[in-house]
Amino acid sequence: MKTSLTERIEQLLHKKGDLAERLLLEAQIQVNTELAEQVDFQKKAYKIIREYGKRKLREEINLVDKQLFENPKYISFQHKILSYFKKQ
Amino acid sequence: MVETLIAPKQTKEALFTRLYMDAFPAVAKYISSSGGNLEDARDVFQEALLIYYEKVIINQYEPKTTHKAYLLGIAKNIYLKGRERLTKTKSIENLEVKEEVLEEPVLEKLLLFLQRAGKKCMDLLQSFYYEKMSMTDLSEYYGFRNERSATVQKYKCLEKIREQIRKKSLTYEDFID
Repeated sequence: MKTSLTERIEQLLHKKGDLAERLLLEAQIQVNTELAEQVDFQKKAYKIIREYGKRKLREEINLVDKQLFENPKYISFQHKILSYFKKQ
Repeated sequence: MVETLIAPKQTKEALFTRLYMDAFPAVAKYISSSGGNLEDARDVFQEALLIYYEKVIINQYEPKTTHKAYLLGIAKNIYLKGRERLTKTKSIENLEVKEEVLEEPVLEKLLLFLQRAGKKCMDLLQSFYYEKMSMTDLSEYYGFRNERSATVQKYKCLEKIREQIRKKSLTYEDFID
């Protein structure tokens, strides 16, 4: 099965897969501006995807926090925590 | 003991809940005794959990102490750094807001756009590239027939996102570095 351009770019950027194939792509990038741009866009895609993942995780943590401090199911936990912040 | 496997959402929620139950009381006590309030404690703990998850679950780092002590240590560091910054700026108003923004404003715009326009693909891709989920787990979690189908879809999604970035780059003038 033919390897897609996306996969080839990934192998080049992540230094994985066949070395000869990577060297060939690297050489093609030198003479093909459009291809070089695609590589740059793919690099940006990875950066955005990782930031998206981080924000998603932050949201998931925030939901658990809200649940623990607002759901009556966790009332004893809430009382315990609040007792630490009561003025002496 | 926490899961070493990248967990589906339900398990992740259970993991965070357990870590709150186990470690948050100690963090809250520490922050209270240092003059902080409940909001500080909740903010610090959420940030600590994020770091903990990245290190222990995603990058499989094995803490040399208990998970509770490790989380408390991270939380203390975050709190102390925050206070240090506060002392330096001498004013709460000057304190930076914690929400991170990508260095390049254009990437920030793109992220917001892709959150709406390509959510399904972004979810799948982040599972692999951020959470480092294995192709076997990813295939099972997203209901693919096999790993090969999951791999094909992953590259299709990546291509779609790259293409959307390329198209948007034509409208965002400052995009090309």
